[in-house]
Amino acid sequence: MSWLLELKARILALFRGGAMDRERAEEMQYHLEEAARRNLDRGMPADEARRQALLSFGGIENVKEMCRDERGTRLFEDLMQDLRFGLRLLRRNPGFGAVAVLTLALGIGANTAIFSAVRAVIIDDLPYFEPDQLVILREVTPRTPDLLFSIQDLEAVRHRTSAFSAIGAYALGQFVARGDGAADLLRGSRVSPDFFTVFGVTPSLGRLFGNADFMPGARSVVISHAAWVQHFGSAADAVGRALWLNREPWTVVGVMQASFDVGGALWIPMVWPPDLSMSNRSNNLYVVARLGNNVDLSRAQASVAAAMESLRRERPSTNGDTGGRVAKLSDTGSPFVRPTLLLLQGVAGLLLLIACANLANLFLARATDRRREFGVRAALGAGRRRLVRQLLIESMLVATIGGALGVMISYLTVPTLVSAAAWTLPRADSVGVRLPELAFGLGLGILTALGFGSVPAVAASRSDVLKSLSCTIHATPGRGTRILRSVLVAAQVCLALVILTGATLMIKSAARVYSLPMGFEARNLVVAEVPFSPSYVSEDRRREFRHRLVDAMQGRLGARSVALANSMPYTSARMVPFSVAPLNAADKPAFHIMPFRVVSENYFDVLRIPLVQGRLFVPDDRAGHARVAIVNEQFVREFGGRNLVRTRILSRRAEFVVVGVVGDTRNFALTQPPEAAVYAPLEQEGADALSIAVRGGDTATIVHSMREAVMTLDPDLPVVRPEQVGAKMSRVDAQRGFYLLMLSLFAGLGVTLAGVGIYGVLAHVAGLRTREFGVRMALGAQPGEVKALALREGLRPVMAGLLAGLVGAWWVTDLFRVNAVFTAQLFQVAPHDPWTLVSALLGFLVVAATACYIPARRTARIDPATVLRAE
Amino acid sequence: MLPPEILEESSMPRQQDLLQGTLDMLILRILSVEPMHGWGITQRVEQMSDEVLQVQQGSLYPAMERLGRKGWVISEWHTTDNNRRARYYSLTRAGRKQLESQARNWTRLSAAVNRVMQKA
Repeated sequence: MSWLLELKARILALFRGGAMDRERAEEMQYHLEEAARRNLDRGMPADEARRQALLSFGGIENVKEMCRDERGTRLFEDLMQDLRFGLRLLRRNPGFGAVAVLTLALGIGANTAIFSAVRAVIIDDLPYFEPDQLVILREVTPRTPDLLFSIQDLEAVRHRTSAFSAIGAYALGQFVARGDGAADLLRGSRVSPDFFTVFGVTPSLGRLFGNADFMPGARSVVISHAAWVQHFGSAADAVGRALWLNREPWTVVGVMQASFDVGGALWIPMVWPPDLSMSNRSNNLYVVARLGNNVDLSRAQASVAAAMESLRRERPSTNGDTGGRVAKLSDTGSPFVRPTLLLLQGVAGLLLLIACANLANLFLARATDRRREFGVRAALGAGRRRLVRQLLIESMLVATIGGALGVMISYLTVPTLVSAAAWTLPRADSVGVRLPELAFGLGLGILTALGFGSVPAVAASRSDVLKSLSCTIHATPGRGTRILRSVLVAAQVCLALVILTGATLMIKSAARVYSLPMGFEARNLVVAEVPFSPSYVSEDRRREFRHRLVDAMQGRLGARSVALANSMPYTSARMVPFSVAPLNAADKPAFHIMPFRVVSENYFDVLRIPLVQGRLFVPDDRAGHARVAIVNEQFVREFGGRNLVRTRILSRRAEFVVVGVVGDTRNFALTQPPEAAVYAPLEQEGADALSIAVRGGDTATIVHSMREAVMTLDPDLPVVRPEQVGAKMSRVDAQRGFYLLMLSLFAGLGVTLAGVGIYGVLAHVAGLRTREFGVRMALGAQPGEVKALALREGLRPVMAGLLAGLVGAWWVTDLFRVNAVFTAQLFQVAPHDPWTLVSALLGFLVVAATACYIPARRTARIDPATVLRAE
Repeated sequence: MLPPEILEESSMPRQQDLLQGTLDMLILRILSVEPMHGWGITQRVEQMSDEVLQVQQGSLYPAMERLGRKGWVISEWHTTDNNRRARYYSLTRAGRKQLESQARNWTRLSAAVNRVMQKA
């Protein structure tokens, strides 16, 4: 316990330092007086008695100092003193402080932001009980390495292995669901009895399935948190109420926790088919399992492989080449996200390195300016360690402020970034700047402080007291410092060029992608699907619904254009084989599969698809008249490129006369080439699927009136994914967009930081050499010559950095060629695209030259007379 | 941190290096008799050692600081016989225990040294 007492004394001493000093002084005063009195008693004269007492005591201040040392708070007090001094310096030189802190804040902010995603996606455990024990099971055949399980094989495996403590299965499906509000299409699944057991999850309301729920006729459903919010308005009494699924009432027995989303938004019991014969085998089961006690992945794998092997022998006709595969659940899911996030973290790390080099140079420059101060302090007895500590503490101070600011930046920007990346980031909802991020950011700050702070600290500790005292402010620093400075500049130029090249490559690729013609006007176009329920069997009923829907929508939205079709770009399309009727009746038609769009008359107007030839549909193109069709240009190209207007085309069931040719559209993704398509009039052809497109106006208003119109006509019909086509497109292209955004941001930051770094060093050197330049000019050098000299010397390390950067950039572009993660990001751009390298190089050179030119120009304006007089 | 030391009066020709920590033990020993102020402690050491040992102020007060920090002594301000304010130190219970163990160690050590010196 004695150490506790001692700690208490030390802490008390921290706060009572001043009072303790005063008491000690009074005590020693008393001591002196007593000693003097004794000397008096011994017969010394008064003066002498006092003098002797003082002499025998030794240095009073010295003793006081030794007492303070004994108190054990010395280190702390010194630290506080250094800290206060550092703060004073920062306040006195706010420009330096601001640049240093901001540089670091940007570097740390970028790292912390990416780290928040890395943590959520890679580091954090899945939100299940002992997630390490969770595995997935797949079937494997020589043709398909990743096949879902069939119920027959699963049952067989279940009986042949004991490697798992529980095996669960689910089959994905879609349900038209309706609770309190409008109907909606939900993804959900049928689950086996052990499904929830495997994950070890509990519901937040109600219960999970029991045996009774799996009896035929039982209709129990467990809904997700999201579905609970959407369909029951988060009502506490949702359990026990009815949820209509495909127009049948099901009873909600439980509401799942928000973090659980395996298998979609709702779960219903899977009823095992009575007939498990192999004839109706279908591979539609996702299988999840929990490893048994003391079973590792390889044993589980071996066990499943053995089970599949015995099945192979048992039923060679159906299982002849089927094997099994076991994988950790945590290793599955978006295979590209992990490496890409790590890549971004790496780039952010490079960015921080640039910031670090920048700061090292800043601190180095300042240490040069402070040589006299250090000299004086050393002459007054400050030890080298103390000086080094002072410098380290100053860099720590900057790092802590910068780190805190960086975490704040990431805190403010991460929500925006996550919403931009939501479609590509798994578990995006758990990405955020929280305590781990704070620790990460501050930790990075301290690490960088040690990095950039040690450079000037070491330089300062090597300096010679006499030399630094005798040198003037304008003396240029030693050769070692100059070389170090150039190396730092070159390093950051190199890193920035590498990042810039990678980003340029991606920007170029993205520019290619985004400049591709869509073939229709995607802006201000809201599209939704309305899947018909089974009661819309007859075309008459569907036609009536369509007419009333258009009327209702136009009533609500005014005379805006509403187009209908069986499918639109970026919705699911009906694929039909078509061919041009052969000229020679004996020839067999060659069918090509393509989207068959059955569209309302105004479809081409609303989507702004241009007519190339012939005519568009007219009101007379309806039932009872000749069947007509419009084809697109790609169709014409695919079938020989001749004029197809007024010729006949065939599907397998019908024959159409082509009345017009329209432009091509890109329907699924920007990067997919346009495909051939055939359009037929809705009033003539009819359609069992329905998509709506509305042009212009506020999206929310349109979506609202769409839902309202459908709801009043038939509350059981859902409006599926009503949104801007742009939103659908960007989701398809979200990954490219997100990484592009991040990389461009990083590249911009990197170039800015490097530019600021170059400028800072040059401005400082120019300041130091003012006198030299003044003398040169006084001796006859022209301002232009001086300027050129400064520019040349400034650009030398930049050039060295660019050369090194080119090597690095080549390596990075090579990565784009070799690594699938990178290759996937490129579209119609060669990895070793020379123009990319050249444009990145030139772009950077412009920035660097500007950063060099500004201080160089200042040197040319030096007035030699003023400079020489100042000495 | 400087080692506690006891110096002989400089006029004395004999030099004796005393073991580290001895001053602490002497202070504890003197305070075990009665509470005492710093000046008094130096006087008492001199008297009791027949003026062989003289406590340097530069060692005494840091030693007091150290002993206080370890919780072996506490101090209070009192008025002296001649009506002056002085800081009196007294032993705590931990200090008393410490003194006992240090004294035991010292006895053992000095006996051992003596034996070596006599036999050699």
